[in-house]
Amino acid sequence: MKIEMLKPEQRERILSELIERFGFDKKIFDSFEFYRTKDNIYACSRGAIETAKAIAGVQDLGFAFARFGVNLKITTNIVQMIGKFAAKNFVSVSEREAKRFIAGEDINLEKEQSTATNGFVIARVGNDNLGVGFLRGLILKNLLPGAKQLPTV
Amino acid sequence: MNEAIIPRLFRERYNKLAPSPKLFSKIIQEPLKPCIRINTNKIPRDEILSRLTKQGWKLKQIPFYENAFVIENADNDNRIGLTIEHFIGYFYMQEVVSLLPAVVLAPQKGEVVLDVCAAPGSKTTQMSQMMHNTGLIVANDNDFMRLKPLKYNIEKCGCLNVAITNIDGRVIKGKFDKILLDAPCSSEGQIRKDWKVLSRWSEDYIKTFSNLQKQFIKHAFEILKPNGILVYSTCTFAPEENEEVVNYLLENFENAKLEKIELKDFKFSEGIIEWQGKKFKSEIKKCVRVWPHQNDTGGFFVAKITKL
Repeated sequence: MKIEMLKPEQRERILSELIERFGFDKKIFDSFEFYRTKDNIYACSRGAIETAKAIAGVQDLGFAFARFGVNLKITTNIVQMIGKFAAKNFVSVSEREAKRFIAGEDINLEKEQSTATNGFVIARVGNDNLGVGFLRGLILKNLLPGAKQLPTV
Repeated sequence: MNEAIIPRLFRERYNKLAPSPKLFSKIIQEPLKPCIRINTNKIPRDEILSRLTKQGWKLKQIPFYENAFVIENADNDNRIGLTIEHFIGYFYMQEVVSLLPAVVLAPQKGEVVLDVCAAPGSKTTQMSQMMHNTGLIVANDNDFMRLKPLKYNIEKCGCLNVAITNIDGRVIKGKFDKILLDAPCSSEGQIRKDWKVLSRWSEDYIKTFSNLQKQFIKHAFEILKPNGILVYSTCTFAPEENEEVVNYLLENFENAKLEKIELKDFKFSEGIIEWQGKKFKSEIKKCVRVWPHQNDTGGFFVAKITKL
């Protein structure tokens, strides 16, 4: 696998889109390095790409940060790490709704969200960031990967 | 569990080797208490401890590693594994003895570390947090089918400092500051978790692993940087897979030095220096054998070697 770090202007473009959507402070990405594959942007620790170049047969480094589409979709794994720094476009759900979300269900919200507009959003319960959903009106479409879905207690 | 299914040869073997054989025979028939490791890549230790305690979980600190706890009031239906906190990856279910090798290796910020047989990733993810998500861990596993759970756990634990490779551990290339060789083994120490271990058990099975482990440890030592540290571990009791393998390394490499291991408030036995007529170097006593009845855990073996 050939891993090439994103050029500064590519990095800037990717981060700008996510910062604009979620209101992240740019500083939280200082310890991240990014590289891209055909469909995804991957994140890893600073310095890891250069070190990994000396290792034969690397198949994966770090993990998927965002996926390309009409809009950039941040991944659930990254949201669970940095979602707490999002200042907007998060949807707060109740504990009962959180359990349904984790189990893979869509959530019908009772009222419009003042913290979110239609599009990709972060599903949050209290201070915990569960994953990514797609908000359309009062429906929070569940985008948790199947392998992550879990019945909870 | 019926004691009758324990193979006669197995019983005879460990009656000779285990301290307090009766206690050993008794405890291997009892289930293990679950243990969790707080994932500090995602949440501060005290914050998650406070939450789990408020939910009614009784947590007992593991003496040699501050981020791990036995669940004293665990139930049979694994409810703690079904909590939101577990879903998010704030903690990871990991056996007590499985925490030992990374603690002994003690990887530091910025180092380049190889985990030779990494899947499913318990020790890799533990080392990632010990390194504060910096440096690089090469998590290798030769078995392609085991890469999926390895990758899943790396992602779930938020480990950004891990590269995955799928190479035979005997031919990996590179130079590493530290290497963890948690070798494939006959898994006798896993009996409390999986009784099928005994259905596969035989002395020939042990010998097959012993030969493989010698090849693994030789190559791991060769790709270790000078002054680097190699930790060799197994989850088995068989001296052929433990002391004999470490002794093989010491006999073949003059620059291999076995180090003493300190484990605070945790009981263990020293390595044995004679088994079935074979004599090992006296320093093999520095190896650590953990018997299940010493701390109410699984069984384990660890050795720490420095490359001079």
